[in-house]
Amino acid sequence: MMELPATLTGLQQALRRHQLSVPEAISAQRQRLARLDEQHHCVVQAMHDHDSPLSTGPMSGIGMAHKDVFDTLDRRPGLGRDQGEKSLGLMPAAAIARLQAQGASNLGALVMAEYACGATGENENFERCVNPLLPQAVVGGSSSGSAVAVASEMAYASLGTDTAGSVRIPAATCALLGLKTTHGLIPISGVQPLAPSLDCVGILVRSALDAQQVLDGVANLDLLQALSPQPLRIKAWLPDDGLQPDVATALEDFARECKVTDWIRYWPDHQLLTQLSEIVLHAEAAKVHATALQEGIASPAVAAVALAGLVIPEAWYRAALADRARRTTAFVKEHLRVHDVLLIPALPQPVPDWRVVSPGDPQFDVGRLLALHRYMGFVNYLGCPSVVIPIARDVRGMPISVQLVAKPFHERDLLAFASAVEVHRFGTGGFTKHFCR
Amino acid sequence: MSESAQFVTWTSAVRASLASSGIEVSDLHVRRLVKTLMRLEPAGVDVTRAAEESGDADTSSTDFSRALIALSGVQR
Repeated sequence: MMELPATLTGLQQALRRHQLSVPEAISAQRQRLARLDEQHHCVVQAMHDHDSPLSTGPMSGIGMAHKDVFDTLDRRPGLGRDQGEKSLGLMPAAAIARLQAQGASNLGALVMAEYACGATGENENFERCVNPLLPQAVVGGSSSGSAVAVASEMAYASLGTDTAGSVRIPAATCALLGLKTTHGLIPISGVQPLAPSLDCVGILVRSALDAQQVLDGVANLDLLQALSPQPLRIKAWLPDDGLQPDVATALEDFARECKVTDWIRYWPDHQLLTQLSEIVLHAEAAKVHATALQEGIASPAVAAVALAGLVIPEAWYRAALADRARRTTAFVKEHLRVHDVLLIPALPQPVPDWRVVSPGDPQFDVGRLLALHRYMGFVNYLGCPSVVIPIARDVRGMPISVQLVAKPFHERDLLAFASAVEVHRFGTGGFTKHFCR
Repeated sequence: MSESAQFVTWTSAVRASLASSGIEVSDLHVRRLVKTLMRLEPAGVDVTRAAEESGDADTSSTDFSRALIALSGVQR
């Protein structure tokens, strides 16, 4: 079995040095995906290139696998509902097409929460995917298969979607970097919507340099801002209540290490912005799934998100959207004018086990399930980019992650900061391998 | 209005709204929806003003996209 480098950028370097060829690299990655999926159950369908993989282009030889939410040339995605279906003549999702135009190979479609509705990967239509770090630990959703595929090294990177944390929550449960991009930075054509005003394509990887490579391949580069020439200034908000003590300590230590220069001590806006994000989420999900709701065929997962949208007054929804630009402007001017990055929690608790966050289990705790997206949705409402990275280990060796928010289109600053943390805390080879297995 | 009175008012509204969409759900689901509405209601939005200022969802979306681009250039 051919040994593959640990990171995407490492593989690019090996290819440039002709230590292996593009076909050899792709073949080895396909074999690895098939072998590891027997343990992790995160692949809906393995995919093959229509032609030989491009031997030129910055992504040649790089295998990725993506959440099963993207149209491809000959397949309609299964959306966590089924296996998808062959369908000729589709326009591939723009994000996938961009990666392929640069030589990247699409290795497969990955398991997800049904219709992207769920803070965990629970989905009765598929075998439960297994967290490569600790089998009993939950895999966050809805881009659950993406997190498992990347954390288990089945793929170097995965595109997911993030409407209220669906890239960042799975990243936080699997010791990955999860990037939620600025609303509009990556085109969402060819992607199944959940709430179009909030939907973003996001990236899951094991290393910050890999994230930068993938971002450069899929983003509208004319919007992406250059890296700040000055040292980044960090502001932090760590709420006094609601953080489990070990998580609070890890985040406080990290903030001190980052030389945070200002703190938000009291921030009621978080609750307000979260409410606004939920209004938009419910209202738009109801529009997307209106037929299924009316015909009584919406699954429990979809109904849990979309049904409320049918009863939310239209005026609330319109008001939430009309106020959005003003509130985002106020947020950026108050918190990200003097500072470049706002440091906030990712998950308020250690990564829970499946039994604690699975409805129907005797140990189910609805509070711990809802806590998974407590610090996520408001960022989608604001439209800003944010990245989740692991910074410490809990008592089980599972990741404690932090979330970093920046001004719109300043993803490069976030990834440069994440890269510095990665090297300083974990050395080379990415974040993930330093957590329990 | 007391919380219990609010609950009754919202319950009627939820039932009417679902009925107008031809949707039947259990009493448990109705209670959950009412709780969701009561949780989201004080969202601090001036609905009247926002409705007067806003055109439609497309207008809001365009305004928001422009705001994001403008904010990307905010300097220290």
